[in-house]
Amino acid sequence: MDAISKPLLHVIFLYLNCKILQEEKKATKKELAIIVGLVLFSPIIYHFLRLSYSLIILPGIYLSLLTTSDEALATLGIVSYGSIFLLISNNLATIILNLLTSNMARLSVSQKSIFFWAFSFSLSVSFCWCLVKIAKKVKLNFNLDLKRNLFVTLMGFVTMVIGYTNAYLRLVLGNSPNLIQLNTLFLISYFLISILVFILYVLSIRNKEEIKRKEFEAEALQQYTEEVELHYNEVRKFKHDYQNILSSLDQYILDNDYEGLKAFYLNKLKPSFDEISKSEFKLGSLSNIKIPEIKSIFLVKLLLAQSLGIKVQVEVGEPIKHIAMDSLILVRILGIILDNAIEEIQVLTSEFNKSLSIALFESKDDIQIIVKNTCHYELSSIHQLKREGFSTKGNGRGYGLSILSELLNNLHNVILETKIENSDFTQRLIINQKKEA
Amino acid sequence: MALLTFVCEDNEKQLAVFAQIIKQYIMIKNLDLNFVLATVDPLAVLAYVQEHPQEPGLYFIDIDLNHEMNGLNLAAKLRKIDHAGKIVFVTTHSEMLYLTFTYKIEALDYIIKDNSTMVAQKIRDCIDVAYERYLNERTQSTQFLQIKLGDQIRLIDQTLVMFFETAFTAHRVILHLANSELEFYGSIKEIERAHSNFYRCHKSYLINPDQVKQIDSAKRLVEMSNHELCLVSVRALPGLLKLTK
Repeated sequence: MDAISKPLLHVIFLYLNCKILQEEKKATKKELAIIVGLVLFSPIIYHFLRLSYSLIILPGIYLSLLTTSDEALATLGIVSYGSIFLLISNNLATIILNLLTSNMARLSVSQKSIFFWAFSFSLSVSFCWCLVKIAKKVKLNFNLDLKRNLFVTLMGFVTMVIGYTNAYLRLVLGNSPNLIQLNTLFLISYFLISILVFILYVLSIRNKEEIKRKEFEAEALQQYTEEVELHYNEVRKFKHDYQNILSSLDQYILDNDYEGLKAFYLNKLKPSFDEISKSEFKLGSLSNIKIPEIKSIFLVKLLLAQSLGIKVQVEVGEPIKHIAMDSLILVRILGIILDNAIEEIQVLTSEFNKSLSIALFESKDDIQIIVKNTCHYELSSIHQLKREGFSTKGNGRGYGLSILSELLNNLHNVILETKIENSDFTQRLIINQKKEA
Repeated sequence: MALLTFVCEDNEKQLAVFAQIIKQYIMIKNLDLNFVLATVDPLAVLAYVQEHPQEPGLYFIDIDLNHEMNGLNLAAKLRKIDHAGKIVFVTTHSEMLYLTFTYKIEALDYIIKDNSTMVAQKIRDCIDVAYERYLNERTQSTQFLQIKLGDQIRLIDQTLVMFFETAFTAHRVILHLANSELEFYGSIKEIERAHSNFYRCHKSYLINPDQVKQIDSAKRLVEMSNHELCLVSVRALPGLLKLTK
């Protein structure tokens, strides 16, 4: 009886753990088929391979999970952590059961195994659930971070290997309650240390990112200063020209030379009007944004756009002092929107007008941020733009837009409106100031 | 009820020129337009509109009014009273705030006065467009769809709706219009309950039957007038065919 139920339940629980860690409620048919197959064959595999049957079960579960996720590494991490939790829970269940049976009347073998599995199931599920919740609290997506951090995945994998070797040796060398307790203690402390290392690691990465951000802001400021100096020189030159113009006007008027005045106006003054509007300092109104991170993301991206020969227009009519959302998330959102806009303009051929305009303003209870760029796509493609991995620019790009939707989905006070009209692509971010998410 | 016309511009000479152009054009075309006020004082315009809140207006407003209230502030205040008002900004090239005019004030148009030869023609064009819209609005009463965005409610003309679609994540709906889409917090079920003129053709789609272009019964797809495709469920297909017949 135990020989059948044990491997069977093991597979099911491990699979459930992984699903919780994956934060994925849906399962594909292929995935379920592999799991059902594993469940059915697990007693047979167990019968023949005995203790090393995990060598087949774990890769099997890994393969089935891969059908819903294309992140091989993250899935490996999930399987590792899922099985570590199950292993710890199994050991804890054994210890609890030993404590209980010494106090209570002796239980039958089948009752014992029911208790055992009930304990380990509830323990492992709650472990996984807690980990996901905690990760969410500290704003880490477990799945996402495993994807990024090879280190964390490897740590989980090694822990799993050690845990299983440990269990294997224990079963080979004998299975006394003391040994189990010692092993569990060892495993838990190892695991706690691992988690501590993980947290320190994440914190250090955060610090690094913070430093990077500061550097980025400083660089933006540097570029901005240069731009302002350039503009200041232009203004000085203009002032000089203006004084010259006035004095020549003076001369014409005093001499009553109206013909000369007319000629001077038409030939010299009128053309200089165009010059004035051309030499305008386009990014000047960004100084109305009083939030440094937001200002610097605009500065960096817009200066980049200018250097690529894109006509840039900025409209920030009134000071913006506060935006009711996490400014780091807003910086990420704006970074994606502006990068996409610049990329789209760059693929335009020369017959298109290359221009990028942005506007920030307050209206009633909202802050609105508008980014408009010239583009070439047709109306029907807007529908597909947001789909994962889809990009009008070819394969492998366009992930930005799906990350964008992911970021926006968690913000209840923000909406994004997209619009294509007369080869203008407009994105309008409306942030409600009264209801911060 | 005539369309009231206002001009607010701080340069008296330009003000007189604009007023002259507008009056002449109204007379020549014999339009149902009532020229109310040409002034340098934004508060005078505001005062008049506050006294007559029900009457729609056409406003020509300079951005720099040499007054503590600039043209943009005046327009924002007017917009609060006269929702359907037609606002046209008169501005120099350097004061041009295209996106802000369009999205904050929902201005009808703008006139750049640097180029003096174009100004008269542009004013006449604006009057034509404003007048045409005014007549349209007077004859048909459009039904509006209310969309809740936080504490705010946005009104969208129901006839322009193509369809609603459930978003990837729960509690989010994407509204598709002819050439734009809008993602907001809500549920298709609620919208379906509140607006019986839309048809639920699939678990994830609520469509406007008036915008259906064609139905592919074999593939169970419906094409909307802007060429976007929606899924149709087996159960909803007969109802849809009946509805669009």
